[in-house]
Amino acid sequence: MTSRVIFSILHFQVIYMKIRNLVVVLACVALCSGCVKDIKETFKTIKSVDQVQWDPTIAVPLVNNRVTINDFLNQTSTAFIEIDKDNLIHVVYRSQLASLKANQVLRIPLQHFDGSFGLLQFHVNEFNNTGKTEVNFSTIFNFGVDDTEIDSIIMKACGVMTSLTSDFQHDVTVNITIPEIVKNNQALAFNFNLPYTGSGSATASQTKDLKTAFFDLTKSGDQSHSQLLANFKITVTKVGNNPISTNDKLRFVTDFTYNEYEVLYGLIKSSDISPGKVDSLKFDLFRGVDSSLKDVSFRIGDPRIKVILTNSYGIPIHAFINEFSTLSSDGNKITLTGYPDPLVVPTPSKQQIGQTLKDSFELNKNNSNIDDVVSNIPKYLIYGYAAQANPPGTTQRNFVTYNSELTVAVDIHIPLQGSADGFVLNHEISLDSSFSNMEDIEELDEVTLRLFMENDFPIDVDVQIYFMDDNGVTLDSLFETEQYLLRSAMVDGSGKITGPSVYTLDISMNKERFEKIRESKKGLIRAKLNTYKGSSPQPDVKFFSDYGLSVKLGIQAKGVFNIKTK
Amino acid sequence: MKRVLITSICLVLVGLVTQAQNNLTLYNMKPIPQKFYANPANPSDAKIFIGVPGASSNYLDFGITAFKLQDLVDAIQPDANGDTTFRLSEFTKGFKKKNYISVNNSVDLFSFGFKLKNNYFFLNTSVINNARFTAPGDFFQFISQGNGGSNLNRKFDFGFGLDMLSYAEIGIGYSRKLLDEKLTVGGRVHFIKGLATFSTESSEFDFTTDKNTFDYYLQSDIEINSAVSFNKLPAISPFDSTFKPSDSIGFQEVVNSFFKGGNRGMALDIGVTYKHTDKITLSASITNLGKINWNTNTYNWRSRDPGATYQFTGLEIANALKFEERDIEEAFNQLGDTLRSVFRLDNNTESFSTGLFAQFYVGGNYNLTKNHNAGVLLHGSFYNKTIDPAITLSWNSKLTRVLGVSASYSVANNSFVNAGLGFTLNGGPVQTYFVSDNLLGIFAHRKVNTFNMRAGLNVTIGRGEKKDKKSKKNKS
Repeated sequence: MTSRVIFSILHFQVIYMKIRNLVVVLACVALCSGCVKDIKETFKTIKSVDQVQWDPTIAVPLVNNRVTINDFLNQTSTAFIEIDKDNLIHVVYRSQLASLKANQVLRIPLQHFDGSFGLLQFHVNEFNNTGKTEVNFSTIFNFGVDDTEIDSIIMKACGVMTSLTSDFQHDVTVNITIPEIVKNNQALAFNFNLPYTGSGSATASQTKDLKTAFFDLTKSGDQSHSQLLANFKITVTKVGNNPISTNDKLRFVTDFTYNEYEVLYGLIKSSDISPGKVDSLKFDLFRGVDSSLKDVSFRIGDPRIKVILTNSYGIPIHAFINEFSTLSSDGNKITLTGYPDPLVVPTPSKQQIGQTLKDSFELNKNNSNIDDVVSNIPKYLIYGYAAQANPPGTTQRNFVTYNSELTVAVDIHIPLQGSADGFVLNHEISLDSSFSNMEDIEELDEVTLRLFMENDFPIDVDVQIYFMDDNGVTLDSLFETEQYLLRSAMVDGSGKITGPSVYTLDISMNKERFEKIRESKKGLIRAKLNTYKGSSPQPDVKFFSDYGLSVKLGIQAKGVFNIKTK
Repeated sequence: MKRVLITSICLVLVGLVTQAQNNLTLYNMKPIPQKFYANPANPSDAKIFIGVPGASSNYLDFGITAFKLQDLVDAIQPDANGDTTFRLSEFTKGFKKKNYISVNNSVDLFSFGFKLKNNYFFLNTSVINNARFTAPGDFFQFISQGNGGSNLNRKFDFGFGLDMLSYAEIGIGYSRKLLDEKLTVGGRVHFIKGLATFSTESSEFDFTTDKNTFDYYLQSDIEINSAVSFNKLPAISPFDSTFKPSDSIGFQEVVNSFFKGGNRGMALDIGVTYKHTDKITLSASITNLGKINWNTNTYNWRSRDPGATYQFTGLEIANALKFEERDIEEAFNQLGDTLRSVFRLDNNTESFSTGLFAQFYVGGNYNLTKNHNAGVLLHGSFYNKTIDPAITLSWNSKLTRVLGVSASYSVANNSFVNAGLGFTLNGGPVQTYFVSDNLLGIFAHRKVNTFNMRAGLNVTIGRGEKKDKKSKKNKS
């Protein structure tokens, strides 16, 4: 019984184990098949992806730069800057107007000399007796230059050519010397051989370079100013039994060409060396200012105009200013006063040949109306002068060099010290082409330009950009209201800043606004400027050379990019 | 005690980081001699066991902590136009600060153990390979979300890391029962030969965008060491494009490299079990407490100026108001030169050491019946000065003389979904076993991100149950 019970229990246990194993196996199979199906489903889901959506917001620091007044002026103006001993910046406009040069008013034209000579009967007899004869004679070359008495010339460039033609049927030699023309310590000389060739005339010519040669044309003895003495020595030697007569001639031609003087001494003729025009200096510090606005308040601390005369003519010059005025953009003209009349022109002495002497005078608020002129927001400075060299009555002998010149230079010094309020700059730009190819950035949802600025300049700039259609109708604006582009640094009682102004300016553009702006054809940039207005009355401010504007430009763009996978 | 418990639970819930060779289920599987690896005071119940050479213990685990397949599927949604869209930012937002892909494997070449009265002796020779790639979640979030908007001022961590460790060991273990078999203490000494390593000691590369100016702040601190014991191979060089393991290595060289040269280390396991009552057994162990000193064929890269910070404030362009293309090109060139200079790495061939993946176990078991018990196990592994905790609840049962089964549930590896299973089949002296801490991966692949298993074949002689049966028979 016991064994049967044990057997039954064991049998039951065996059956139980078989069933349990079967259940385990079936469960495993079911789980595995479910698992395979699930894995397939997962991969099917992954494979079904049409696109990958990438929606980042990216911030990038683009540019970090510090700009100074110098950078601005180098790009925008004809002016340059000077720094005074206090580090204060002066904007300097410079222009100069030159007179006629000496070589334009005093020229030495080509000098031509010719002549001929024959034998006297005395020479023919001597020739027939000895088979040879020698003849010496001299002639004067008149070196003529307009109404000028020339004492001497140092040639910058000059050439001389002498040609001889002999009718003698015998051999001829000719020596020509001009002792008043010296080059390298040697007088000018020509030596010719004219052998008879059996028929016709014998000819010969020679040239000499007289660059740097000294021409002594001083009056002495019978010789007057501007004259040269030329000495001829002619020798005729018999050839066979050829005939000879007093009708046989020897002819010469001498030409001085390319006559450019280095220095010319003498009594120079009176000449008008006026430039013959006026000069205008564009005063672009206030470029773009809307002068139609009447509430502009503007004051510059201590503007000055310096007139600098330079001269290398060695002769007295009578000069005077015949135009000195400013013109504003609305056509308002103001004539400057306070300049000397006539102008005092410095003249080099003989010991200063080749030097350029300088003299100057200054117009300031104490000796002229320059304050009124600058407050008128000038656009141009116009000036001119007349000058006459050796005015009538001058008897003094003097000199000119080939490049002698008188110049009158005008420097306008504007120290960046003062105050300004109500300046408005308007500038229209075409946007038609700017937005034509913007499809590439359609995926951008929002773009923010961030300007982080540290401004040392005591100046505020409000800015707005209006976007307009072809008809000038405003479609949108960059800002809802005008925004500070520059915020002035704080200024102390002496006009110096107490520290930079630090601030951030965001320019945001979302897709909707950008679509609107894409329709615009032109833009109007409008900026209002004023110097620091922290106290009343508006204080003067100063601009020093170490002032700068540090600008960090960053961009933040939010986009949604759908990258197709199929 | 209460504080320790609370701390432990917090560590489990908050600090879920990564994984190692855990043995969470194996720890309580009485019939398997290899549980000795988890606690040397927990020897086999066989008087003698011999591991089949090369097949007694093969361990493999794979884990990826960044995401589960379900996260990938969840990020796939139709958009307004009906197009199936994979939303990159949705997918990456769940990435952790540090994400790991790890592969660990160990093979016992030979092992055996035997009991001598109250003493148990154990010997093993094994080859162990660990590889872990660390990817910062910030990097993927940076790519998908960008650095703007809400990410301004956020410090992005771009510190990637790669850690590989391969070594062979000979382990000699010993345990002894004390206090009338209530207390068992044990230990194992590992004699280690390092084969190769690539160790990212420090990989800090932080990137922050200033919220006001959009300036970039970059900070870097890099230290990487590598070594290899095979003379014919150069040290592993990630920055050397000329690296070519072209020389073939013969078997003799491999064998020689095991016995000659440097790159040696040592480690220690210690453990204890205490049978508090017939019902309650407590245990604890610390394993792999040691390091390898690498002094042969080493190569190091270190930041010349660790912690150096560079602030990029935008291109500094000459002629800012009227610049040309070449000014921008010049500005970029200058930027490149500066970055190379600030973040320059120096090369060296200095010795270094690497720690092993040290682990601790603290467990308790309650014997429901003679053949069934429930266990709770706290586990932690140490890696890069961080602790990787886990907690396991298990049911362990000897169903028949032949079949033993353990089932476990673990909160581990950055996941609450870890269901483990282990079984042993004893056909006479031949024992086959299979253990995994996470089998759910097979059945619920979308929900899990780790998988591990250990399987082996042992010959066991004199298992305790026969003796028990005999004694029962004698009693009856």
